[in-house]
Amino acid sequence: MLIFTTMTAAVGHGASKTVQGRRAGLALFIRYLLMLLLGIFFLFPIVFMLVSSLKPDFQLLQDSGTLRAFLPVGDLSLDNYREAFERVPTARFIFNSMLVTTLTVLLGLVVNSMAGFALAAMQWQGRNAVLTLIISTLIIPGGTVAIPLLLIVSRLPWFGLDGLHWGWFNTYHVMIIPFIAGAFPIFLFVQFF
Amino acid sequence: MASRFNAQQQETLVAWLMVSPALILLLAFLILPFAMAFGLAFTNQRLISPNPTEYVGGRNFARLLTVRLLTLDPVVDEAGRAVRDEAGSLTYPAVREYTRGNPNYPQYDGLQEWRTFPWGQKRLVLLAGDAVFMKSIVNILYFVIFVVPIQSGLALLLALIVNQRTPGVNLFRTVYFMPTVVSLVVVSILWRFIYDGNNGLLNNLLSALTFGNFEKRDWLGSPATAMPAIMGMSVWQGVGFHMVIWLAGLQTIPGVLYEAASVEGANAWQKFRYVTWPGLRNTAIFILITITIAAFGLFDQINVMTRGGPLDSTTTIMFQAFIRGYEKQDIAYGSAIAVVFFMMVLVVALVQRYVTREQA
Repeated sequence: MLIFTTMTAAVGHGASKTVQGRRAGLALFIRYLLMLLLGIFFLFPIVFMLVSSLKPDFQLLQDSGTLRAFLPVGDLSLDNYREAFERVPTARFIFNSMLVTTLTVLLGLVVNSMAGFALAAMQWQGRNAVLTLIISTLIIPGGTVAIPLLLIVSRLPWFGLDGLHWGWFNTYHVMIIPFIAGAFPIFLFVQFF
Repeated sequence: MASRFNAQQQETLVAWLMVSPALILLLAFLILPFAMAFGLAFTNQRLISPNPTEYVGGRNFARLLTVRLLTLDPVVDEAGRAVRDEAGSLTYPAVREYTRGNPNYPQYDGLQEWRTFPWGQKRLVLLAGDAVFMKSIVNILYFVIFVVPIQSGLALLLALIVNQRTPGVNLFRTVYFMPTVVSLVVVSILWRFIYDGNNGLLNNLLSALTFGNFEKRDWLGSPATAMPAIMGMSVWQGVGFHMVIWLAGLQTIPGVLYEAASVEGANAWQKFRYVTWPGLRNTAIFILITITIAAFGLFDQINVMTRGGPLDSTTTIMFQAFIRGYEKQDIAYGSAIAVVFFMMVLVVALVQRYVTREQA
């Protein structure tokens, strides 16, 4: 490195510029080549998934040894999508996901931002204790609580339109209510306010 | 009319009202179940059971964690000569003679065979109260030891590559991040096609690259390759997320430091070693701890791709907790596994904190 710099310095100002320019160009080329190769590595399974979703089974197997696996060529159709909606109630699945996600996010925004604001911007007794308690729950792995949580929700009451039920299995609220509050979102709100 | 409360009391009241929804939910669905895991682990609780729940002491933990070594001598006949089988090898007594109600060996009663090693003429047998759980601990350590350095290192490399203001770099950042956005279950199903033993993409790709010299293998179907296959897929899926965190860390390093280093004549490696790396200290600690905890919790990929097989070679602690606690409805035993899991994660996190502490 040192030798190289002294050499270019000796050759003169103008020559040094072109050498440096060439070196920079080569470095840029290598950088883009590397980025492109990495891009292919991250993209190929996703492209394979998208392209295969348009092909019938036999063609999927036929193509899987060649580049054709990644190209939208051959007998393309939306039949797989049609079947997905015909064989199982996919529309219902999508609706369920949207409903659960929307409600969890909306309720989570209200509940967590409220707590975050009280913890960050207000002066009150017990503030530090509550903040410490909430932050310390970050260490609890989700897996540790999963099984006792199963036991808890299996015995909780629910007042539905048709009266009182025990047990939250197979309902929307069991997928939403336990997952509204979170230490991490509260922490982010505390930092924001 | 004077208010019944003064301003300070009023603010305290309002603040408590504002935190209480979140606090109640966290208490009910995070802190209570966490505390219950410790309590339930000492009982015989089942999800649905006609019998009342009883306190059973440390029985669940004893079964989970017991490991004993049994030394088997070759079988000898009355003359004292070793009995050999048809192939001429030494024969050994069956392990079950020691573990199934043998009154002379109460310490081995009820244990399962975990591993066997030859030891000269003898044979060493490792017995465990729950051999599958022991295998799951070994498997998860194997996974963590490889995935944590590979994933964090590769993520740093990606972040360094895309931490430039060259045109199109945002496109590449998005592409590297893309697998993180796809659900793990979807990704797992997709990679099952890639790893397929007959017409899988990986087999065909390797076969094409070696002009047909590559012998096709069932990546997820053989104990030797199943776990490495899941490691590869997990790194592919998770590395983009940690790239973004590294990138955030890189962008907090002031550009002036690099300019100063250039003036001093530092080369690229020196700039990385003396400017970038010290500047990334806190990011590195955060990434190390989060990747480790996430890796210990390996579950989705196993549940979708291998269900712990083949021959328990990919079963993990979380997968065992799920199988015992949910599928077999043995809440108490699943809770004991969850507690052991928490202890392991806690110890590893504390050790990492200690090792990476601020040196005075």
